[in-house]
Amino acid sequence: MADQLILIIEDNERNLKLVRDVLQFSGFRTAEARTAEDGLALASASPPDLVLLDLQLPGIDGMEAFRQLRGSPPTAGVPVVAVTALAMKDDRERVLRAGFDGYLEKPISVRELASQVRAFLTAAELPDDR
Amino acid sequence: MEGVEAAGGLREEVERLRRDLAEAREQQAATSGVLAVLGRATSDLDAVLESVVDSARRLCRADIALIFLLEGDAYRLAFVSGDLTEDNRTYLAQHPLAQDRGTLAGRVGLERRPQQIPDVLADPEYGRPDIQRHGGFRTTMGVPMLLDGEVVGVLIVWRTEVDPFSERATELLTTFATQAAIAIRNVDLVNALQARTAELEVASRHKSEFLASMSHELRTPLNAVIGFSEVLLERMFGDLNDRQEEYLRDIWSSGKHLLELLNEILDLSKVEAGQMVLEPTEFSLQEALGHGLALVRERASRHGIGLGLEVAPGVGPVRADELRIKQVIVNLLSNAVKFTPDGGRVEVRARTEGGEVLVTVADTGTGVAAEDRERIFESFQQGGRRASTTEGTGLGLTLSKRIVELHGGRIWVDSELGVGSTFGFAIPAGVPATAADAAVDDPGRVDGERTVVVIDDDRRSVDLLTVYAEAAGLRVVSARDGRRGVELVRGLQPAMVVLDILLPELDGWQVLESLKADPATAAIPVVIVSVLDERPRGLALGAAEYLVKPVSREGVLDALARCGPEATWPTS
Repeated sequence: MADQLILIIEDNERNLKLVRDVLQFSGFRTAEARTAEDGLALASASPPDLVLLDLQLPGIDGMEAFRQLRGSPPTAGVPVVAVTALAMKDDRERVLRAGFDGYLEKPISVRELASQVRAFLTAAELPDDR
Repeated sequence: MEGVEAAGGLREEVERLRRDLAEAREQQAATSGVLAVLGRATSDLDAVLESVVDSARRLCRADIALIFLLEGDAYRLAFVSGDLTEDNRTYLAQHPLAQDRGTLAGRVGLERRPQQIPDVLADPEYGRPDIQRHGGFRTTMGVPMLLDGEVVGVLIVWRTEVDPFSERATELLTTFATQAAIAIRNVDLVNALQARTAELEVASRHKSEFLASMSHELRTPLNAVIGFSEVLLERMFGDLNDRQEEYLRDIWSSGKHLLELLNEILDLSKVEAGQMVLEPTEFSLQEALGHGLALVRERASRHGIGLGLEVAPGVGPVRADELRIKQVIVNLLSNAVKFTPDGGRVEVRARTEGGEVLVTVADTGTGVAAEDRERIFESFQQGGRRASTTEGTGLGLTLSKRIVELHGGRIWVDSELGVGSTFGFAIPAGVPATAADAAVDDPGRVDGERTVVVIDDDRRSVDLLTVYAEAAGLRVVSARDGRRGVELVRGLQPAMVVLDILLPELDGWQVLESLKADPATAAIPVVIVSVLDERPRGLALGAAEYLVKPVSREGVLDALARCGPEATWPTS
């Protein structure tokens, strides 16, 4: 459990470092990408246990990156959590309708991040009839 | 003989009066026709001016009527009524008339009053035989169209025979010219207004886009400031001494304050742009007030300020945007605590009165001077209450006022300098017209078979479950506390219940027990969705399924499918 790999796709250097350091502190392994393109390549090369995906990215945006993750066999089953600064109800619904496994709102809570990630991982492991 | 002559004269007189009357009627009808067009078609100038030339020709008994408009330094034909060949019309349109005495239009423009040429061919000053040939007129009369004393055009009538126009015709033509000028002015005004509105819309859109992108740009570094101070405060990478911890708390709370400010600016710009949409739900005002008090409790106790809450009996749930109303409550409370000196008191009261819920927050602070009591609700005003320790944004009250007004309510302040202030707001109590109330009165009205009752106090969970359930073709009715939840289930007889455990009023275990103990609700399947992992206890108490939060979409759909109504589920 402690060695689960979390892929962080985030274009802002400092926010990336923050999430990475907090997750590493909590015993996760991390991989990082600053663009959706890099993230997609990394994810299919070695599929992570969970992807934290920033929605506002340069180039391919988060929504499109999510579709590509789901559409590609090596990553289709990897849970994806949206990380978003948008906090409107419409945005939340848009994210959930798109089929994300969950979302985190910025600013992320340093105190709760690890337990939130653990909870998303547990939820994704629940048996389903797919 | 005399009698016969007198009778003949009388008959003529009667005949003349009859003609005059008919003429007057016709003029009146035409004038009101033009006025009607004028009123209707403010943006369709052509329709108005065409109607003017038509009426002018008919009522002045002219062969042709024309409107020339001043363009640059010449009069150009704009409208014609009457029998003129296409060729002649084109010729006239292509040959503007100069502002001199050589044409009637030029002469009217120079004199700025009605002019007549009884016979053009006999007029020594007339200088445009080509125009006369193409127009084919002999007698011509014209009046200026004046706007603010300036000639903007000329209304002209022609007769092909020599037959001078009467005084009366001159008056009529003047009336029409005035109407034409008004029409031109109206259209100018409307066009200017439309252009201005379009400009403002563009400017407002730019402002909103600017604020949205600014807010993103500012938030990103702020998130790092807040996040890294949290990392250090959590001592993830080593211990801190007291001074370091104090400074880190300063950094953290300043960051939070900036973020709040940013959110308020964004909210306010949303209100100003008319883009703030309320999301009304039914919630307990008492709890919302308790929530607000909890947020200021720490600061109040640090300053020895006493807090009190008094909710009158009869204040039930309200229907409003819970987050927004909480925002107003928190704003009023934090202002009250901020402006109350150490050892003071802040009292919150709520009551209903005349279909409204009234909330007041009374402090023993510095008070607001009479001249500031209106101003204080406008942007960037803090009245005279600028204490040295103040960190108010100056936007909170403005935003609160807008939020309350969006709810159809009002906000006010009563105050005495040096004694204290009482801020209050009232919103319509909005007798909750929920499905549940309808169902209690008339159970047949709500289709319980396709309904899921979600009992959860976390808005995000409700949103998420709503999205999932609606995707499965179900309707969701939600309750924020256990007691309300049980009422809803009894009233609605839904197909199933989705139940959280950690709830205000009754907790989920109590809700489950009371639903299972009541024969009317015992058969309704209950799915527990909770952060607590107590599956065996849940199933033992009669839950049909137990999911631990956060739940996956598939997990929820699967549970709904197994426990819910026999429906056609989307296979995902």
